[in-house]
Amino acid sequence: MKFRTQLIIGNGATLFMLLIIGILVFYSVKSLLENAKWVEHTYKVIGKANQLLGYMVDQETGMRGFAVSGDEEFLEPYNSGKVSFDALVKELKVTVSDNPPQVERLNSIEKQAIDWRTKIAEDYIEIRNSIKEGEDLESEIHSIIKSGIGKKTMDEIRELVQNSSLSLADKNQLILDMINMETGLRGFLLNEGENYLEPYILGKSLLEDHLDEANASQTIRNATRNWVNNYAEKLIRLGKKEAKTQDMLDLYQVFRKKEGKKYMDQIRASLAEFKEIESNLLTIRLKNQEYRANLTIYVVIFGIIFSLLIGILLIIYITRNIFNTLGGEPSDVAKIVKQISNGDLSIRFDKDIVKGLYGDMKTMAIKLKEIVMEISRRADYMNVVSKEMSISSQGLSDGANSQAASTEEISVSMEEMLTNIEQNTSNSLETEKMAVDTAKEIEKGKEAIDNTVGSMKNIAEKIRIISEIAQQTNILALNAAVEAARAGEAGKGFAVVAAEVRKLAEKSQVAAIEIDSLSKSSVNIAENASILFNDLVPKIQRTTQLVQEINAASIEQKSGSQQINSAIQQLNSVTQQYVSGSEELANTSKKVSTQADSLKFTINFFNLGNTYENNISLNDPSTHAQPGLEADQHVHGNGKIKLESNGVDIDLNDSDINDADFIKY
Amino acid sequence: MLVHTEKENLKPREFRRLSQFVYQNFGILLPPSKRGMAESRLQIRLQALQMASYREYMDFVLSPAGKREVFSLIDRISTNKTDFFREGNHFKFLREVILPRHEKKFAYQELKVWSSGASSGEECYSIGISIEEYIRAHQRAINYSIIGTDISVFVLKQATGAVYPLEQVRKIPPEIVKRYFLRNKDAKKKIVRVEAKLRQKIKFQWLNLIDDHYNLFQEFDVIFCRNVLIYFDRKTQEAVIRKLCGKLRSGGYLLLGHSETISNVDFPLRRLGSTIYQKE
Repeated sequence: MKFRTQLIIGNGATLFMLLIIGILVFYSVKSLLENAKWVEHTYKVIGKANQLLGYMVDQETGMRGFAVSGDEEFLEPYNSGKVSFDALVKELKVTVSDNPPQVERLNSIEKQAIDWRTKIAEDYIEIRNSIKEGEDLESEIHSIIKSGIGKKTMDEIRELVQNSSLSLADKNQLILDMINMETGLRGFLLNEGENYLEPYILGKSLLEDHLDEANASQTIRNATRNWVNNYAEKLIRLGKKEAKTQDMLDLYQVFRKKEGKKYMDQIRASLAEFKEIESNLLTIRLKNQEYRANLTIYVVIFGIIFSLLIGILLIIYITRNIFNTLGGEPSDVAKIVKQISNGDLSIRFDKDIVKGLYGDMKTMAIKLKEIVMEISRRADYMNVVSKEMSISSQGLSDGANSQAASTEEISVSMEEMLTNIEQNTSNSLETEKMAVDTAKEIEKGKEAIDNTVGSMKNIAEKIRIISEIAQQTNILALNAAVEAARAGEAGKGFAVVAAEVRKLAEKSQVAAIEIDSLSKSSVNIAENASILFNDLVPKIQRTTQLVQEINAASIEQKSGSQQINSAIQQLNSVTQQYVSGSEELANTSKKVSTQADSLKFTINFFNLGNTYENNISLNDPSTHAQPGLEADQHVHGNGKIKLESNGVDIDLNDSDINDADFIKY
Repeated sequence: MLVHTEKENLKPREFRRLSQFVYQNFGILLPPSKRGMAESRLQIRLQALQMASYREYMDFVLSPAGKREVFSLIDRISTNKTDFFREGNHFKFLREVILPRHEKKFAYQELKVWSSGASSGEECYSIGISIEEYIRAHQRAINYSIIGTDISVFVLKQATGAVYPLEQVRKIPPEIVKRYFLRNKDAKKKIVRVEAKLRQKIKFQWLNLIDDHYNLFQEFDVIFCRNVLIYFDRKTQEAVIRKLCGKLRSGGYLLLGHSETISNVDFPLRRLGSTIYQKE
């Protein structure tokens, strides 16, 4: 299995486990949270239900407070309770909208509450308001009465009446009427019954009549009218109004019916039921929550244990695998890798470790070292080769040079040869002519030789005569000498002459003998020559033939040399190619050398440590014989002579060429 | 007197003396393989001097009395192959590159050309004709001078004389021949001569390239050194090239023979093309 796969599987497995645990925990927590939310929700609902009851109680309390005190302030809790209750019910309905029976319940509670409100509370409040109105009217009446305005006015009227000019009866009548009216008013006000007003009404109508009868003054009329209108009528109006209002007894009567309590009890019961249901739900939810929580705990505990187990197993397995693969401490291996990446191959390896990456690194370093050494060696070799190539190119170039030189030389030689051939041709023609002439002349020569032989023989004959003469002269000279001796002093001179003559004779003798032998040999020679001449004729013929052959050969040579000339031209072009080849070679060798140097430079990146000695045992190019210099091996003497053009008289214009011999085209 | 002569061969010992002498004095390399050539080339000298053996000849040459013979020896030993417009690419380069550039850069300066292996003068006259033709074609006035040097007096005399077999100018376009050559009155002689005006432009001088100092007191714009170096060994070649560079003005051109190259040694030369170099 691949290391990556192992790691992926190992890490993946633990991660997968974690993922599963995570998912489980996530869902558990989520459900716990949801549960909690529901629990909280339930609590809220219960709380709200309680609050609802509270609002109900508030309303009741407010209503009661108001009923008792009649103070509007006490209505505040009622009103606020009412608003809050309505809002809360609405809200609670939304809250428990997931539970239709509860909503239904709430609806019925709401209805009950509204019923209570409209049928009970509103009624109470109305009654209490009425009571309050009555009390107000009573207090107004009291205040009017207390103000004493009625008594004062009555007193004024009494005084007016008493002081008037009216008859006493009238006066009494009028006062009686007034008292009746006052009594009726007081009875009415005290008893709150209209029937008590009768004296007043009677008095009032009687007063009008009695005033007219008594013809009472306007002042009295006005005063009575004032009392009636501004006091009595006002009080009666208020009293009548008060009589219509209810009193606390009515309220107590309504209380006593206990209808309100009925409603409230019902509401309480409904709410209790509502809460009961909610708390039942709560119990279920709490139980569920506990179960979830427990499950989560188990999942976490067992999941972690399982994951740890698998993780540990995998860690052990992978670690072992890694160590097997690495073969050593990862830091060591990393250090080695870094060293190698830095080109340092002089690493000391632990000899005991042979397996794994460490072992392989060791092998690699060794191999790399070998390779680097090899490359280095090869680069050196390349350098050597490039030098050799360079030398070869030089050799080629030198070869081209010497070939070119040779070609030139051959060319010149060919030219000379051609001249020679031409010379030969003309020479041979001349030779042929001469040979023919010679053959002719030989005939003449032969005749001449024959003549010569004859002449020679004649000469020999004549020479013999001369020889005889010389002999005789000798004898004569001898005789003369003898005679001269005899003559004594006188013959002395003659003796000298005789001696001279004798000497001459001897010489002549010798010459004759020589001539004789010469002529004999001449004859021989001539005869030989004759024989030779006879032989010569065929030889000359042969010569003529040979010369003709030479001529033909010369012509062939000429055409041959022309062919050679054209071949030389070709050779020149070949040489040129040769030279460009050598130039390319030189170029290439330079490039190879550069490459080798850069290779060396590159390879120098590697540090091989001091165990490696660059001992290239290749042929040192400097010891190579340089082909171009072979030729001058033999010229190391010091035989240079001083030779300059002005040291020797050179006249380049000593020719006898004259422009007069030439004309323009 | 008719005598059948069987000449003595050039013995290796004598050949060694000869090649050593020639190498030391003229730089010309005579490897053992050239013994036959040397023998045949010097035979004429032996005949001329009526000498029976090469040993005798070498003794003579190396003696003080033989100092003059050295010139004859080198006449025979040096190879003087040349031709009109030989290796035409150089003349093309002269016309198409050197002359236009010179004109552009040094309009009124004299263009100095040196033919360092002038041989019998064909190269010099070819250069002269090329320049003249350029002047003709472009209607320009280019001042120029050509000097031809050689190691062989014999060929220098030929060059000075400027007389050539008719055969040799056959390869030159006839109109050019008509323009620059004179024909001999005697048609049978089949010779032509370079006309005087062109001849005057060209001077010839004896010069040994391996001498330490060249008897030339100027720097040249162009040096032709073609098929000269091939007779030298590498060492001599390099020494000669160095000296030639010394006589070449900066930016001047050095033209070598078809087989000659400059490699490895760092001369102040830039290669412009095959056998064409420019001084840096």
